[in-house]
Amino acid sequence: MGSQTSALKDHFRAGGELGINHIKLGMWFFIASEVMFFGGLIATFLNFKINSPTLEGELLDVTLVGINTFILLGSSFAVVLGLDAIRQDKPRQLAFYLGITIVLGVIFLSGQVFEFRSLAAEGLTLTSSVFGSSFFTMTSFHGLHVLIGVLWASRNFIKTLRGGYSSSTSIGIELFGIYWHFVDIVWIILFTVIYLI
Amino acid sequence: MENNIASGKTESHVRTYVYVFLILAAITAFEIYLNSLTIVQEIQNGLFLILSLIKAALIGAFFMHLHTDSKFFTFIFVGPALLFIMFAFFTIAS
Repeated sequence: MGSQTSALKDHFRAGGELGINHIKLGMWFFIASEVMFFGGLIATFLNFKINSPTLEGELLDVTLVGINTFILLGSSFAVVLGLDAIRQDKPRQLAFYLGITIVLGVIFLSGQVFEFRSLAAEGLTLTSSVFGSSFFTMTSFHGLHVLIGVLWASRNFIKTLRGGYSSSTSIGIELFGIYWHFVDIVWIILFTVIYLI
Repeated sequence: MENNIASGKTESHVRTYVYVFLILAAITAFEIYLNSLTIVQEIQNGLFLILSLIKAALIGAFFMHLHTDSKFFTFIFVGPALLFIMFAFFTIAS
């Protein structure tokens, strides 16, 4: 009975029914729900920005946030190199790239905290105006996603050091990669919508 | 063709990832430069939107492997994204 259940589990995980990996399918459905979540926030912000323009956007520091954008792009690059490394059975390289991802994620969050503090000093807070509310809601939720990603990367880092990943068991890294790259895409859109337009 | 299911070694794509990253970095640098220019607002905003969509598409296609993975994953991801774009468009237009 036990071996039959195990065989069924393996069959399920290998995508035996749909011809695609079920765990990855679940991850993509989660990402789709995230698209709708951030989509609602961004559409609300756009509506406000176009119909009730304010000068508060002038307080935003595009250069600082541009650097943060490079940092997040770099972290995405590190994740995809890490996945490529473990597919070649190179766990040490994976650990190295995950370490870079964690460091860059923490730097990004530090930059965001610095930006929030600077804006608060200028009088822009979550409750100061509609612009402040929508700005801090969007960027804070994105920051929360980055924080979750950093914790997930840390867990993967430890598991890698313990020999938990190989070319045949790299799905955990692939799922983390999908999540992290999605967080990067959300930032690209937020950077454009909030800071550039 | 990459494996849908992690089941052993696959060929390395490091060179592709490096090219994609360099393009993403170059577009971001261009966006910051473009932001410092004084040009017609509508043209500038249009360029920003197009450039951000190109960046998102590059990450989705190459870093998230949608160009080699099951097309069903692309459908799951792009479907809600198109709904969002329509929603945003009608919200703005109204």
